[in-house]
Amino acid sequence: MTPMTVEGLIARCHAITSLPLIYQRLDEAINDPYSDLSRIAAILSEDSALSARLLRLANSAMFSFPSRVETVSRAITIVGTKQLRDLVLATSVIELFRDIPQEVVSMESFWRHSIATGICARVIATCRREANVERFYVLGLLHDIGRLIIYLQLPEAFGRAIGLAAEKRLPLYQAERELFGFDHAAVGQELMRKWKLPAALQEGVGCHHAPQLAARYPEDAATVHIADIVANAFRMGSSGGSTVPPFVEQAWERLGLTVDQLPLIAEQLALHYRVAVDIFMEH
Amino acid sequence: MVLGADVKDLSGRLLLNAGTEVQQQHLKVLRTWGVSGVEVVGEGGEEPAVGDSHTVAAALSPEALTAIEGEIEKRFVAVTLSHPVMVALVALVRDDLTMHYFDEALFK
Repeated sequence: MTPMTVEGLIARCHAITSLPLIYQRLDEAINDPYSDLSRIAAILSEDSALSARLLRLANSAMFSFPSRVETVSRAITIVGTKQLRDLVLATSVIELFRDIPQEVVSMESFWRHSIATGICARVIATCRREANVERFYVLGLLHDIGRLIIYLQLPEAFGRAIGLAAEKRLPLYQAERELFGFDHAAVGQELMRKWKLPAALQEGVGCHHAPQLAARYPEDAATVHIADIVANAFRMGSSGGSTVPPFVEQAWERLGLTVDQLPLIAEQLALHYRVAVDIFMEH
Repeated sequence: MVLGADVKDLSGRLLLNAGTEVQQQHLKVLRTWGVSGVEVVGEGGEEPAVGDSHTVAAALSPEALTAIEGEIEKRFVAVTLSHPVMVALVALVRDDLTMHYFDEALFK
């Protein structure tokens, strides 16, 4: 057998080589200086399930808006257009991977872990007063997506990686490196590149286990690194591994947070996690 | 138990929507936000207990306490626990597991 490469693995996944059309159209409309709110609302309204999900989200405690949000265009003004695009991306990706067979990895558990990491990254970004916190939600949500690709393309080998991790008490990503010569972070980074998603998202996903190597977006990588650790510590779902991944001190220092902010981060995560799971995972 | 009214914090911020089915996880959320009582619809029954993890830990069986420590060891096997933030994270997870075991005993 020829050795598998990250690029080869992605190229074999025909079904997911591009993002859903609605995301692409929305992205174009948001980037078009001549576009306005009504055009964006019109694109969204074509997908009633997506619109309903966005309205539920805008009405949830995550946005703590004092009165009820009844229309998609109102939801856009509250959430923001760029943030909305990120939320549509989050929803689209979950849809894209909804029906994959699940003998080794439970999709429910995988997305629970991804949503928890997304929410935690969003909470950390809020504590750091980042301007667009939804992009951190998406980064957390997609950080382990490479694992789904490995699982889809090499299900047996992926099962062996889980076995090796358990046997040697290794974090799963280290077992992946031992068996394949690369890990899910590298696969995820390549998929983000293939999908033409922003460079910050590519690097954040690619460096979430080695945030000290992020050259251009070290804060993004540090945020998702810590969020992944917290989500695993509270065992909010699992993407296949059963232990908390190793902690890189520089990532925590990079974020400039204090230890006494951690309880608040954990509280906020617990508060929004269940609601987000309900909204993003309902059929 | 289903919430009969929205639960808000002192500043009026929405914590949980009316109609939410109250689960064990919600009890922890409400505790952390200092909410001591909520309005519920449907049949009466036991009041959800509200307390901190230290008083709760004292009420747990030695087996439960051993199980909690075993679970912590399993989860953090790959992590060096010398940094203060990891020490704090382990303490939070211990509180969470303590509450979980306590609620499980309560809902049995």
